[in-house]
Amino acid sequence: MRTSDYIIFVSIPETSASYLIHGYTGAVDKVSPEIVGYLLKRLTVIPDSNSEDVKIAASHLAGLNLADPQPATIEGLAERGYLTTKTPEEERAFVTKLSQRLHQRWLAHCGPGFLLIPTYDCNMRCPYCYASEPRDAHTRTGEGHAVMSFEAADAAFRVIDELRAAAAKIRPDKPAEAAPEATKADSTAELADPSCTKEPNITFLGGEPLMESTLPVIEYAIPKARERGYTLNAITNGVELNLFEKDLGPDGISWIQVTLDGPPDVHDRTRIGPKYRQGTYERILSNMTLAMQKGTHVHVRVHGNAKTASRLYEVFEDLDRRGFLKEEQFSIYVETTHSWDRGLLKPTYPDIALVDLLDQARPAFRQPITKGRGLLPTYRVPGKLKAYLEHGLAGLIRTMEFCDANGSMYIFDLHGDIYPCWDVTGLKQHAIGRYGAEGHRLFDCRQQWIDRCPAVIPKCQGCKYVFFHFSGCRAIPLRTGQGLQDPACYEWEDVFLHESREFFRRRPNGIAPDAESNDAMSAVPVPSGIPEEAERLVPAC
Amino acid sequence: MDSNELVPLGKEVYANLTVEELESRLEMTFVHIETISCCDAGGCLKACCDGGYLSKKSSNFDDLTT
Repeated sequence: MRTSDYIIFVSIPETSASYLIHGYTGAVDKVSPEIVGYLLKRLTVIPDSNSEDVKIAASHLAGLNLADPQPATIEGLAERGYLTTKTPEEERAFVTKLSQRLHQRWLAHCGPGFLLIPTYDCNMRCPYCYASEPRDAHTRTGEGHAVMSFEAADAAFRVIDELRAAAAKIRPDKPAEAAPEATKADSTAELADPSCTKEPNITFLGGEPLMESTLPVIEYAIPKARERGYTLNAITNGVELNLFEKDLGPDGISWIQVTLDGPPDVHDRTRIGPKYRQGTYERILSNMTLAMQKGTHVHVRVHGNAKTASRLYEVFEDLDRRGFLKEEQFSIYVETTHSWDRGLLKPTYPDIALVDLLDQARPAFRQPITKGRGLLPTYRVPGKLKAYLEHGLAGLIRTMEFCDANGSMYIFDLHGDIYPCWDVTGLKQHAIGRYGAEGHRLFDCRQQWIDRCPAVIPKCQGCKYVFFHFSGCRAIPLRTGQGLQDPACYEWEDVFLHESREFFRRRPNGIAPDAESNDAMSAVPVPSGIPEEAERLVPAC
Repeated sequence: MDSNELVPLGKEVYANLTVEELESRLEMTFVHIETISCCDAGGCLKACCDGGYLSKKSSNFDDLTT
């Protein structure tokens, strides 16, 4: 027997114990150095695979004279999949086939999500803006201030009706690709799903979707969405939210995400625009208050980078002082900035590696402000590990897919283009379709988005993290000069190992502690249509 | 810890199954998801579950948060 290629070795430097996580059998075990050494001796690392864990584990054993485990222990390793009779090719084939099957099941189940881009224009000029490329391109062609027409909005809603009708015809036991295409829109009443306990939604995205120039088309679109049974969300900078006062609330825009860049002095240096040179912190907070008074849920994204990591707690303190954190209609999370849109595959200053942000910010967040509110980004590793411990692979299924960009998300922009992912909006080479008064047409390239899963990415097929990461964000390879069939590892392995060490320090025997720190996986409500993993990637409007 | 100690922490281990056998074991999870997941608006597997929605609705998957 050989050592499985899919073991994640988690070493805890300050103890003699290590942990093994098998990538697909569900096995998680606390083991001795002797067992780690035995497995490492029988392991052949796949070239170009994520194997930092192996290097760390080997370094911890350096200089130790370790005996082989007893036969009964070796038998136990085989029973849990750490030792296998499968050849490397057979293991890889197993993982490939299983990931394909799980992906197909997910596709058969997931319904469409819809977003509207009323403009690529923005009233802010944040230095790190992820959406500046399409905005600048449209400015060069004289369309920089263009706003979606009422006719385009009408056309988008007709396509939304058609796509939703088509999705409603897909049954869970029928693969998505076999679903019949809708030839005409069904009535919305026929689309009601008795198992549906939550309303479908449409999200406004930009540019900046909620500003003076977009007010007419937003107010045109809201009743059209509501009469179809959709709730409405917006990813907004919140600066001109006051203009939309009568459009906020449960019958209008019922959920918004706004972004803060740090405490007021930091935020007001970066969240600025031509009309807002002195900063926007107080203005945004005032509009957040207005929105909540109208009954809109406010979800705050706080940006962390090398300049703000150690000061993130100040944002929470300030919002707590002002009473936001105790409100049910308020939630908050932290996310790092990135520079994929500039082709950078690694965090580059002032962006910060997520593990560094966690190390710098976490000590302050150990002091709970409001239980379940503080939320540092962890790629959901603690939650995934806990689910895996309790349910094996079944525990991962619901969060396995990274986001809806692989086939179920449709983003309609003002120019008649349809995009699958908000990190590629405005980049026509990534459009998956066109729509207009005459109907819509989806391009063949859409199939590549649908197909993207570990089964079509060679590096993912041989990756031990495959069912935890499931090939990750599609935008990363695309924005960094690669293709849809390239992996999106980014910081994944670093974060997984960092957070799994933290996880087992807190749960040395896999048992949850009585008191949870509030920095990991709190239950922040996010409406459907806003996949939380993808939400982290949203342009910081 | 003892040099031969293997402390099992994972509760659901399916080693040495075929893909079909494993998928069959996971079937109840799919049924569970498809029965109670929130809507056809997209994102339900992601947004609701770890977002806390399903964990409030589901007895089998309570407390997936750490």
